[in-house]
Amino acid sequence: MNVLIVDDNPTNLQLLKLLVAKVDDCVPVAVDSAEKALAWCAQNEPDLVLTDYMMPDMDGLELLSRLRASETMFEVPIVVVTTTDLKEVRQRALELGASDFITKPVDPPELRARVRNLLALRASQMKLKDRAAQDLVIRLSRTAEYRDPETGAHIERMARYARLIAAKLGWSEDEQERILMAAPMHDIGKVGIPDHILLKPARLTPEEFTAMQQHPRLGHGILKGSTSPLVQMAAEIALYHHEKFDGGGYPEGLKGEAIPLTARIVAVADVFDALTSQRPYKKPWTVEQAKELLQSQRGLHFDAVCVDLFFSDMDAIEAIRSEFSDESRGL
Amino acid sequence: MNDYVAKPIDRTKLAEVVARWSQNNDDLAVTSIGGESDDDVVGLFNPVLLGDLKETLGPEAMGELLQTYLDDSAERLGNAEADLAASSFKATASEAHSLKGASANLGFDGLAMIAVQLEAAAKAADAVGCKSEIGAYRKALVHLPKQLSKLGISLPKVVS
Ligand SMILES: [Fe+2]
Ligand SMILES: [Fe+2]
Repeated sequence: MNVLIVDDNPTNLQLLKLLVAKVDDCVPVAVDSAEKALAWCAQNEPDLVLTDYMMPDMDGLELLSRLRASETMFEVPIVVVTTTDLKEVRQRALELGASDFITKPVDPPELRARVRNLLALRASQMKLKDRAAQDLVIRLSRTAEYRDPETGAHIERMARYARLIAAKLGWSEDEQERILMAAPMHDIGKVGIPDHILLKPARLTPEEFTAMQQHPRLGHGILKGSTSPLVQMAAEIALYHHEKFDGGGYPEGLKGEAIPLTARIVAVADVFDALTSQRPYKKPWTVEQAKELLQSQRGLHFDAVCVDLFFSDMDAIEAIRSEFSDESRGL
Repeated sequence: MNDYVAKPIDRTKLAEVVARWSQNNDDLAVTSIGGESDDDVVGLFNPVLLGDLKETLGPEAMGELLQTYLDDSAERLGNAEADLAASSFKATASEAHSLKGASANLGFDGLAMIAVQLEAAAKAADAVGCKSEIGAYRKALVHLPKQLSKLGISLPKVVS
């Protein structure tokens, strides 16, 4: 979880950063002004903000009220670190929506305990949001199935392959669950592709192909801007699942680790399953053939790490294939 | 921190602390054998907080933190002097406030006390007082690494 730390004094900033780094699953991000904090928040989402009260330009309370006024940050836990217990300041901070206070000099065990508690609260908040979104997410994935000539079993399998890679990468249970739920929506943008292109049995013309390539952006347009981490992840996957590791993909032509890891995982899972499943226009490849192709594309189309981790557990792959075979579906 | 603001500061006690900070460290090393150094350290540091920090962060990170503190403090003292020369007491007070916060956060209570005095002098537009507190702070900073090394905290080795 991201903890944004804001303090103009470099000693305090470094101290807080070191202490926060000692809390499990915490990634501290340290900035030395409220202005930089706002800029960071415009691009990223913190799970917790620790801000100094007294700072030269914009102070901690101003930062607090600006974050609370924003559409996405209004419920992020924000802790004000203050050298003063002037009732006035605390009162104002509470009115502006501060979640907690920490008094300087900072007591290390107390700081860590508060950070831990607030992050646990944040995690359960996010889970509730995911749960609220989950039902619709499942229905949305089904909608995509209706529009997509690919079978429903494809979506079941590729999502499980994606979770398998995430597990091998050491992701937490929550994160694994999230990619399992998010991956099925990777092609949701296809609902915006005209039938005569989407369902065309013959080869696409270059113009048609260009139209087809709009589906990542369309999907992203449908999913973006959610406060649920699950839907946020799905939006990211939808947008980037056709990027290639060497920069040769679309829509943005991102390269290497500039492509979000979620999308690099899904690219492996999606292509592997597309190759090994039956399509009206082709016979399924064997697992060995698909494995060979993916391995030959390590570092080209695919992230080598994801490919290697995926094929490190052939038993798990086979188990998913037999549990979600095309025939088993709908019986 | 509130301790410093709320309680009136005992001038004599402060002078004592400053004197101790400025004392020749070899003398201190000698007294430490005699068992009196604990007392010295208690006046200058918050031993509980320092102990917590050392245990939580480890000696290496503590050394880096100390380096940051020394660099930033030297810079702030320089700023405070320049502010003072420009008769900008408000700016001097704000540097002092920052010094106070950082010192107290690291458990350097002796230094925090000097910073409190500096802030008070700046708020009272007392240029002479400010100058003497800045001098005292400088002196204390020079001795800080040696004092801390007695507590097992040392600056990172300079790699050249
Ligand atoms: Fe796609
Ligand atoms: Fe797919």
